[in-house]
Amino acid sequence: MSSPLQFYRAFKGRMTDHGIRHVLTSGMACVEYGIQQNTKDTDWIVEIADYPALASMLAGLDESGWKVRHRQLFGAPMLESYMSGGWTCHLGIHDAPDSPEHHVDLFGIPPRLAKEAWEGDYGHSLNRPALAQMKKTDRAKDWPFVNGLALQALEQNDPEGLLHLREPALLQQFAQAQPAGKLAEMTKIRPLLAHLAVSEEIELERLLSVEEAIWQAVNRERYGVYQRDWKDFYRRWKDGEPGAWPAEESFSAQLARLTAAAEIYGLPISPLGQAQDRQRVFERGIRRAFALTRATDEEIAATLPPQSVILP
Amino acid sequence: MSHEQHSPYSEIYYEILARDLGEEKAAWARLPYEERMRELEWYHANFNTPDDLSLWPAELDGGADRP
Repeated sequence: MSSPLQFYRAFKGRMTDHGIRHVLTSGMACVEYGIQQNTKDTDWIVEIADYPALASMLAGLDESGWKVRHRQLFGAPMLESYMSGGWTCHLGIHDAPDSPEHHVDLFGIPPRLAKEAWEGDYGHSLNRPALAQMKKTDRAKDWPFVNGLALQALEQNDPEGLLHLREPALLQQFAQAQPAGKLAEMTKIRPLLAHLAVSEEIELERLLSVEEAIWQAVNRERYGVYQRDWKDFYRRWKDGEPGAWPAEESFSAQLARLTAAAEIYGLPISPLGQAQDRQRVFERGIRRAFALTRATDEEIAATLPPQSVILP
Repeated sequence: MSHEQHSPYSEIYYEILARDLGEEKAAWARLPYEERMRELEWYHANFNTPDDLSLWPAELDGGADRP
């Protein structure tokens, strides 16, 4: 029987042996950085071009003693096209007959990150600033990790931590230590950095709250697009072919079934592939943040990251 | 389990962890890597620790409370 940590290392070793470029992310990466305990899942960013090799590896493992299955409900086919469209795959894996089910989540294009953010990390954990950005979900419980990762980065002399730190006094302190040019560059990514010189700390706390609300609202709108597309597809599929998903069959058979269904019942390959789609989601998110925080125009302007940062 | 002090980060960092995540997790975070992982293995072996049960992963903005 393998523990979650043993399984994660074994799975990583298998991908390495098969030449599959991968980056550990999310909760288990936070475990590696000593900042989170309570996760057993492993989440991986896998190079899009290596998905055929990964599918082949998983099929081979499934035929030779492991049990690899799609998890219930959500997930696109493990194809380069879907994985480059922002979809994810979710697997349940037993690596021995008596093993608990290990959960593996796979990203091709992770939300909130541009490719240059992770491609230097193949074979390792996602770097702290990028992981902090990925952790800017709309769940409040993820934000302490954003802050912790940012402070770890700064204390290890990575100025990119300033893009994510959420402590007013420390923000001011670390910002003052940066060369003016570097700070100006980072201010384009995080406008709040131009507003650190406040007379009362609470003013900065207010801006940090507005900033968090913007990230959460845009993320919620983004998530909604994938959720709607998946649910619409799933309804059409189940109307056309009643039956349980995932069916109890081999990984290869499941993948073939899901791939055929996606084509027949029209799971969109890239729900946010067009610039105007992302622009629409971004604007809806800003309106949502306005409504939830009652922020002023000035507060939104002082904290709104560029669309290319929040929704690349 | 012993919490040998090993602190690659500042006291302020651990104080923030304790404030946001609790004293126990901050103490765990102070451990050297190998000891930290050993302790985690022990927890996994001895407790049915809850995991994130979201159908959608957090990074796709899911949550167990979502329809």
